[in-house]
Amino acid sequence: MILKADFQTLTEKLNTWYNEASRDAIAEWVGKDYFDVGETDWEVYNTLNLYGLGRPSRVAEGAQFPALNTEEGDSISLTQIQYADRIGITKRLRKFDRYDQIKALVKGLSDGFFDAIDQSHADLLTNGFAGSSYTDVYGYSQSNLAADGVVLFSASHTNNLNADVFTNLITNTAGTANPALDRGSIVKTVATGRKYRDPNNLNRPIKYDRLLVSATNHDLAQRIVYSQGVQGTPNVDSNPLRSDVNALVLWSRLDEDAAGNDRSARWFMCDSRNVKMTLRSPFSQRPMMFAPEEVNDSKTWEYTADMFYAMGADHPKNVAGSTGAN
Amino acid sequence: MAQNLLKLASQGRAYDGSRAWTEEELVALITLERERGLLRSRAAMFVRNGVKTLKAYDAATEAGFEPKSLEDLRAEAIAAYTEKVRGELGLDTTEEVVETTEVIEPKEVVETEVPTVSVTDEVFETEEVVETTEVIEPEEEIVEDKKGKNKAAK
Repeated sequence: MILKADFQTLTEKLNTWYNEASRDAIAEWVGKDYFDVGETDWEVYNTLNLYGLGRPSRVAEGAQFPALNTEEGDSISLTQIQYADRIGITKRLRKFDRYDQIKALVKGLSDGFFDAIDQSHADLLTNGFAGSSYTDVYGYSQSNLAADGVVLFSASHTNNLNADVFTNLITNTAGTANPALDRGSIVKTVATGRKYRDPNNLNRPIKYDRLLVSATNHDLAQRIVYSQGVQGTPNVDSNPLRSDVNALVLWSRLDEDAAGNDRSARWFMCDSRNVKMTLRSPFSQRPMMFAPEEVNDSKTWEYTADMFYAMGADHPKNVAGSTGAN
Repeated sequence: MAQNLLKLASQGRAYDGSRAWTEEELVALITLERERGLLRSRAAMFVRNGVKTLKAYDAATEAGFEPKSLEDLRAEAIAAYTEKVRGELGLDTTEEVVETTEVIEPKEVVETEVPTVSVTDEVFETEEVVETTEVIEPEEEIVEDKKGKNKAAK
């Protein structure tokens, strides 16, 4: 029987189980590799993403050096939102020493938090093709616009320097947008990224080296990327995609969004070096569990957990996506 | 909303501070910019006024159409909404016009308030007169009445 005197001991055990469960959940948290999930003290997290400065100019002897414009980029503001949950260690659980159930409760608490975080990250990608917002995993409206005010995946991303636009909407070799996963579309996306020019017309190659697919598409993606020859053909050409795409990522939360929509055909490519400049999700508090501070009338010891984070898309060039509809 | 839509709208990159361009509007904006050489802010004014194709733009410019600015559109929208609400409440919109013209009248009153400054001056003048001269004189006269005519004669 767990007595009142055992409160501290039980709390320590719960913390251990919570940390173990969190460790496993974090290991499976795919979104952390592509979203900037760093910690912040700011309640409103502001960014200013510079598109890139111009080239230097030739100057005459003694002439004043030209100044570069550093106010070109767009900005976003992400306000921290609190999410919370609690579990009750009832008197029955304590009286009969049901550690098995108590442990399951704590693991479930941790799993719930990290599933929600990872699903919210996946949903920003899978819902980034139309409209200006969607219902997130918590049931609230989440913007799916990038910093330029255009939906995350678009052929018409704007800048505030000139009328140039760029696309991060994947097209196939025929130029049709939103192709189903196939080799030609991956090759074209890799090439499009390398040719990217910023608003100052500087070539700043985007190296789309990560391929993110749903569990449904994983086998096809593996054959496309890892096949020794060109997938689906009888010729003897080698398959250079094996070096262009240095990681094929299976993200099972891309298969279905929080609203229950089938998103399994959607696939994405990103530049592993810079993708966290695009996908932002700052945390001011990671999921943490706290012991009860006072005894409830029901004799239930209520352990609470909460976190603070926000999410949004900055300058969208470092990630490209396709609905896979065509 | 994480994006700074107000700033984007001022650059012609969002419809206004509360919403982004729709896909159709964005395509129209970029088309007008490219094909007709408009500045983005100018192209945005046309799109906000419902001009979403090159054909519509050409027809509008031939007819001498001048697109309204975001501020004008906002004022119009507020006026239209106000009228709608008043209509739903059963208020006579013709009376409103009379009322609104009457509201202007207090401004004229404000202008006439300038003379009131002299009114306050007058108040000060009268106060000074009462304190110094008129109040003291009757006391002296009373004393003279009680003590006799000799003092008065001095």
